[in-house]
Amino acid sequence: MADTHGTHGTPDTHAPHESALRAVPLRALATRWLGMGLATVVAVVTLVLGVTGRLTLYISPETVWFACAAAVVTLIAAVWSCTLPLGAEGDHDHTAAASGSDAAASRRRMLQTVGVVSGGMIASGVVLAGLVLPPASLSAQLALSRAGETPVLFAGADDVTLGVADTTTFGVGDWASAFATATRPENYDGASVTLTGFVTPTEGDAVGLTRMVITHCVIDAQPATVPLGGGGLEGDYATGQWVEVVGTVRAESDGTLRIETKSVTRIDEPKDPYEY
Amino acid sequence: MTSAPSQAPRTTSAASEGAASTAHAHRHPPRRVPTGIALAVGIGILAVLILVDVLAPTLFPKALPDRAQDGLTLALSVLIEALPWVILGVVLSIVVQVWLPADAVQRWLPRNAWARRAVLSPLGMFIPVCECGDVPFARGLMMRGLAPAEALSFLIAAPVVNPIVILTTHAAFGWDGGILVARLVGGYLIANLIGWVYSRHRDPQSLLTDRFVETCAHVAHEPGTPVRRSLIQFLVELRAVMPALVIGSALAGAVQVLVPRDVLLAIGSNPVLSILAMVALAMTVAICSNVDAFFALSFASTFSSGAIIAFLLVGPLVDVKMLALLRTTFTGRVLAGLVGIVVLAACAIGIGVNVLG
Repeated sequence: MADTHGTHGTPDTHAPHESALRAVPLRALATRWLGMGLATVVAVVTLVLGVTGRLTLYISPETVWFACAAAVVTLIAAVWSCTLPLGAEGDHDHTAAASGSDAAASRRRMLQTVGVVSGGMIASGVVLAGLVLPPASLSAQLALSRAGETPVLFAGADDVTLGVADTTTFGVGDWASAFATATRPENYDGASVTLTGFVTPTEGDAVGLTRMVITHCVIDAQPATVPLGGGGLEGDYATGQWVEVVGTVRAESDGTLRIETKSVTRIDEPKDPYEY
Repeated sequence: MTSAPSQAPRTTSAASEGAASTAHAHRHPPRRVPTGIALAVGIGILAVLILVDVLAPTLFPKALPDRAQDGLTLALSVLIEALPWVILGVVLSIVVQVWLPADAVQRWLPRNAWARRAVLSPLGMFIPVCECGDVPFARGLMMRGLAPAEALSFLIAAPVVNPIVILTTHAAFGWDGGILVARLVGGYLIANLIGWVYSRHRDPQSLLTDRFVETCAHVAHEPGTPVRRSLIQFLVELRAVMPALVIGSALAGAVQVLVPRDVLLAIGSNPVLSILAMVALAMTVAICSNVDAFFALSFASTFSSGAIIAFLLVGPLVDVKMLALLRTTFTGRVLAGLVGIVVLAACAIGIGVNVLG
């Protein structure tokens, strides 16, 4: 990065080398960007999210320290690497010398260049979008498209199936597991709950309370839904509207469980939209 | 790998300072940019990036449609998750390449080819790098003279035969249905099978991309202090791995929002088709091998245990992200063979478990 600055100062002397000067630094600059540059941008995004406490939008809280530590190492190396002249990583066009000058070889080289350039553009686009656009949580549409994947059985849900769990700390994910797997649903009847999630439609015209549950990073996100019924649901709730629900667990006569709501409050999307 | 004849100008002692950048060496012949200024420029670029990251999002409150935004979120999640492992892998690769004596790797390994591969496969036990870090580390080993087939038997085993993976798989499945054992033994066997297949190749160098062979030649002749070479190696490896990692993550994100997953899952519990469905899912979702067991657990009730094992074997070895990373080093033809062997072997193991279990 630094050596683009090697050319400022005395612009009058470099006329004879104009083309060479342009060609080599451009290529070297692209090389540096596609390696250290991409890593630096990802590290900056990671660190800024980490400092502002929003890294859990992407990865589990357990690995936040690891991601931040690696980002710091990357940034130190990035600054340090500015002391190396552009092109030090040696991405010169060796292929020209190696593969002769026949037409097939030159066509292959051409294809290779096209591949490198387009791949580089895509990679840069993704990384820059991450830098420039605000971080976002997964949409309710994605949750709906994955809703068929239940029955949900989340890690650490063993105590749920035993039916002796302390339900006061249960989130939507825990309850969804309990609802799906409880062998004696009447054990849960009457438990009072306060849950946060977003509204999704379920079979018929019933309403579900959904939250994405993540074990490690957002790519393994899976929706957990509990059925709602009762008071406070008369209003028209758009799919994806975040709500806080206070209510009681009720066992139906057919052995299924649902949550009878006492009150439903519209809220903004919470800072930590996922359950871990 | 030391077959670059035209590196002569680099060997003069003055070259170690600035000749690598021939672009402007003729403008400031004796001096390059002073360290202080270079560092200041670096910090300046960094400050601009941080400012952009903090301020720019306020300009675009909601710029993308839901689906594109979900794809981007998923891609970034994989990327942020993977970057630390890549950095760790690159650092280990630097240790092997720059700081260990040149013959250390060769000296520690048995001479017999079978024994070498058998020792290299469980090396992942001691180098707990996730699959993304394995690729730069294996590149470092090859630059130190390891044959491509031997590197492959490490690369294919390490994402599975790995302490973190064993812990998480045990946490998810316990000893149920022999899933943990089948995963470990299966991964080990597949890795050695692949190592054996490619060790029979007549011209091992042709397994590698031209670009990687060039990098090997370049690195072998790199002048300068170990610290400088470490930094250059850092740049070289990031240049090789980063674009592949980003594209692999973007593919994984795009597949998740574009391919309807319920189509795959509708196949359900048919003993053969369910295995194929889980293999397809494994290749496309690109979940890190450290945690894919928890993901697989949620399918345990609908899919046969053979299908779960196939998922746990194929995912870490040849998912879209890993293939993009491997492509930096191995030719497309090798990757096609790799996918074929891994998928067939995983299906065979999965069917075996379904029939016997």
